[in-house]
Amino acid sequence: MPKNPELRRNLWLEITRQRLIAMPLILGIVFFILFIGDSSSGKSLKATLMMSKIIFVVMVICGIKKTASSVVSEVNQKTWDFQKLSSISPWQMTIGKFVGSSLYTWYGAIIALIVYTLSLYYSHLNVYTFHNSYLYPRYKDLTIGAINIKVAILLLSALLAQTLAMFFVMSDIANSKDNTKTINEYKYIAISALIFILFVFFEQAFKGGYVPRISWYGMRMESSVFCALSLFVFLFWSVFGTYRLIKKEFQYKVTPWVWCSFVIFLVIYLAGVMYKSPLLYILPYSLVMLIVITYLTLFMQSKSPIIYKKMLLRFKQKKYREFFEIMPLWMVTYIMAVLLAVFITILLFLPINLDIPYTFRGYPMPETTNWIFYIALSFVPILIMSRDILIVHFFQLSSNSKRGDFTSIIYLAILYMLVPAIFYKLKLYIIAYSFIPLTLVLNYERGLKLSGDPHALWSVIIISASIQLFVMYVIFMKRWKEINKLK
Amino acid sequence: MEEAIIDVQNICYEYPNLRALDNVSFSIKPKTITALVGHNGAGKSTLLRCIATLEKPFSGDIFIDGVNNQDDPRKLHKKLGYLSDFFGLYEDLTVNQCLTYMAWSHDIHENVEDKINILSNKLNLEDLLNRKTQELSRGQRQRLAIAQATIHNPKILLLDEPASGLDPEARHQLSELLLGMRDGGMTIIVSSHILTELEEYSTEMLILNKGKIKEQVALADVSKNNSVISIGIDDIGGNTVDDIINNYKLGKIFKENDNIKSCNIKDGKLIIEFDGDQLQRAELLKSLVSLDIPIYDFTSKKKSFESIYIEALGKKDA
Repeated sequence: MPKNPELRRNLWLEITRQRLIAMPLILGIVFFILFIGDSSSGKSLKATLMMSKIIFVVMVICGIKKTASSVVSEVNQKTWDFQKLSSISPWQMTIGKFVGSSLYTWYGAIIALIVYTLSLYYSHLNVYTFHNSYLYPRYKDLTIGAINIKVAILLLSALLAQTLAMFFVMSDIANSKDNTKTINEYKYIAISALIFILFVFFEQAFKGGYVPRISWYGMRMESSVFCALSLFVFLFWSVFGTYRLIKKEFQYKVTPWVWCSFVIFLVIYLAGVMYKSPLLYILPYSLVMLIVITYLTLFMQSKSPIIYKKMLLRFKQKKYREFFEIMPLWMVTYIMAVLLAVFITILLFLPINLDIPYTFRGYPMPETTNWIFYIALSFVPILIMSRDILIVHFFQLSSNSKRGDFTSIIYLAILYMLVPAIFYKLKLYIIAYSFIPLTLVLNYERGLKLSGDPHALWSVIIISASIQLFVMYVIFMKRWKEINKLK
Repeated sequence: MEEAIIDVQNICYEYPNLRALDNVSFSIKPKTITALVGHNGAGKSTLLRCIATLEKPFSGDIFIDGVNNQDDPRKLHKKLGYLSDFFGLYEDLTVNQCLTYMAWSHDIHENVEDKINILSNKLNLEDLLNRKTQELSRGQRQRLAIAQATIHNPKILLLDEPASGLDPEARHQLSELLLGMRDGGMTIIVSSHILTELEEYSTEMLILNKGKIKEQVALADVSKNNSVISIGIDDIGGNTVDDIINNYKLGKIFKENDNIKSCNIKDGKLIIEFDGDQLQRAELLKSLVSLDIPIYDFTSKKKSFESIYIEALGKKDA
């Protein structure tokens, strides 16, 4: 018997002799009935393939549900405090919950997957037997290697979806500091199941033979192989991320270095797909990705003013380790984005040949305007993001902070759509663009026409973004001072 | 002087717009039962959760057995048992399975069965070991939860409202259980609203009001010296305290006796709050009788928990 208490508790609940016998018995009967059908035309094989896959998908989705519920039920049934005060290690809890909760559904899923794999092997080995059958055109190019990749994609995506469900639920628990709150896991089950189903469709579409190739930093590989490798790497990150969340929940000291590593990995991974020579080109893409991740984490994490007050206090007390332990993930990513923007700018000022073409979206740019253009391209998004962060936090500090995120999304939509539209109608084009400066990347020709001078265009946009940030800072600080007046 | 097992230093805990704990400091000696009292929202549960390392305070330090509880909370869990006011149980497990699981969770893998037998005997759970927890009554669930919280024999036990929802018999059993645990060397903090029940077993009282410590009282000292003396006088009628003092020339006694803290009339009797031992009470009775006061009743009662609590709340902050 394993020594892991959580795994053993789940074994008590999940595994009984009757259940152990029932699963293979029922599945065996189903597959037997399907297989004894008309074997010469391949109909029975096709039915077996389809049924085994359906059973696998159903079992995996049940497993996703069981894993998410196993964590949520601890919080909702008020047993989580016992767990937090126990001596169970975070790894034991991660494995105990992940494996233990879905052990029985995986028992069924593995049987279905074995049947599916064997059926694929069988169809490959007897492909010419089915020359005149339904199966022939579908599986004629399916090699043993391709079958292995198909099975690997199914298996890895199932595991990834299950860990993601646990990760999302753990994030929710970590963000909800109110120990009386009830957590609803269904949205996380739905998201994870959807991710899994997308990969099932991808696997279904992959039939061997010619497959589109993908280029990653110039390395060309089959998209199915790339998909399987990516799933494997992301599975590692999701398990590690879940472990870190449990570790934090179990009162261990956790600094955000794993998050930093993940963000760097994600940026490098995605930039690899967009890679174009020279390497410098991936830097603006990386900046955009960091900004997107900052926004995502900003809306996903708790923005309680207590966190920031604690951070400020720890900083004043020079307790830097604790300062980083408390630091929200959006802030970590935000700092990374600012550092990258600074790095890009420094790089442009260095007396080295960066091989940057003096054109932008096909329009020639005078060499002298290059520096202001790149500063604008690096810093205006940072300024606008800073403004948006203050807006989101401003509403979070309101008396009705539960709807803070929703309210801030509405106001951001107004800022990004309604306000520019009004200025546009008033023919104040430059001001309109200054609320959504990145649209100029798409409408550079128009911006150039309106301003007449690229220098003036970018300068106005930098100044405008700075003013917006300053105004928002003043408004935010007023509310921050108000909220610090304690009852 | 015995070293404190729990030493709380300047703890602050904040919710948005509200300071739940405001510069709270106190220390608790080992092998005591401390009653943590205060009105709803006074910060009792937050304080217990901070001590149990389930919440990180905004500022300040908590030392458990000389170790800061934020340095290595997981290590301290071996010394701590905590039961929340809204606790849950694993409904699909039997009592025996729950206790076995909790023992394993605390890294106890040897003699688990023996430990469960001893604990279940102590908590009257021996006949329920094979019953599923969902079939247990409120009192039985409470006893199981306490067993779960103490299976690893912690040095410190923190109980948040453990008697809520229990019938009088179950409450009495709980009192006996806590006294037994204290005799076994455990230090216990119990938060509760039911002051009369706390009176049965507490040795200390910690009064929390609006997130601040109002008073920490050693009840052994209080019960020894503080008492309320009720004196029945034949013709007290509708007289006021001043009338009685003037009629029977009590002014001198009341002025000279430093043990008399206050005096009033309640239900036709003279009520004296007296801070003195048995001998001093006898002296008081002797001096009253010597004045020929027609006393038909002289009853001395230990000062109740409630009166200590209300008195402390009435005091102004230092």
